[in-house]
Amino acid sequence: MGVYIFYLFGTGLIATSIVAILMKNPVHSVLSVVSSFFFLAGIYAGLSMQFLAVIQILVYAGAIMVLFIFIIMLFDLQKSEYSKDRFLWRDLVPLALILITAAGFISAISRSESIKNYVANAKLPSNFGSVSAVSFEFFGTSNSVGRFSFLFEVISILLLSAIVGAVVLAKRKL
Amino acid sequence: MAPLSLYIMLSTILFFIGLTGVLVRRNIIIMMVSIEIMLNASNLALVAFNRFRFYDSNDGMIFSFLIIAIAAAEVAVGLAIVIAIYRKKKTVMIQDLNVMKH
Repeated sequence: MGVYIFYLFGTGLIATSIVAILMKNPVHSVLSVVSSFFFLAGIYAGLSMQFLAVIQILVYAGAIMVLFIFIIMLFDLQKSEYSKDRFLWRDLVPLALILITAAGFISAISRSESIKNYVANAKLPSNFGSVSAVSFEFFGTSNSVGRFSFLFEVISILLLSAIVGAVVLAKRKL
Repeated sequence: MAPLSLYIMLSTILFFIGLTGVLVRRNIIIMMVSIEIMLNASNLALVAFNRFRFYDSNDGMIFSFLIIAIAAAEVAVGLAIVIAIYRKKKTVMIQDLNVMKH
């Protein structure tokens, strides 16, 4: 049963991602990526990562991609502008290199014995992928510091500097 | 459940789809969307290895959270740069942005 759900979500993920990079209009592209993130959240939920699946939908599809759509609405772009982005013959060079590299990666993964032998293990820890596991790693308990507390603070400083950088870059006059 | 190799193959295919979008498309916004696809491919690989191999810890999931936070920061700054470019050149196509080339 779980295998069919994986195939369903995986096919939808690849199809919507390919549609996203083929579309001329950026709005269609962003909406297609949003649907691909929903498929990806389904795959995360199938891997018992419930909290990550929720965050994928809330933050990625709900916040980051909506920011993209807001920015596209700010631009006053016409159809003639989009049609300047067309496939050229010289694009076949990176495309061929990508196809060769991807084929090499896929064949290496499919022939690797160490990866192939891993199937899902039944005895997971009870808090695997839950909110309590995440809070334990980030914040620790009442009398100990979590393993990733410092990383959490560093991420907060990174987000603060990103906010300041975005405001400064988008200012009309410095 | 599907074996680990299928998850890693899905992650690889997703990464190369994103790489194709970055290298072939000329619209800056679609290139940034393709970068998001590549970041999600790495997230999928981290989470799959966490679930199948290192299931007594949550390190892959924690790293995925950090990658999502970094993606949010990257999108905020990147879209601010795109707005600044659009204000100056009235375009978002990279073939029209050749100030540094000449």
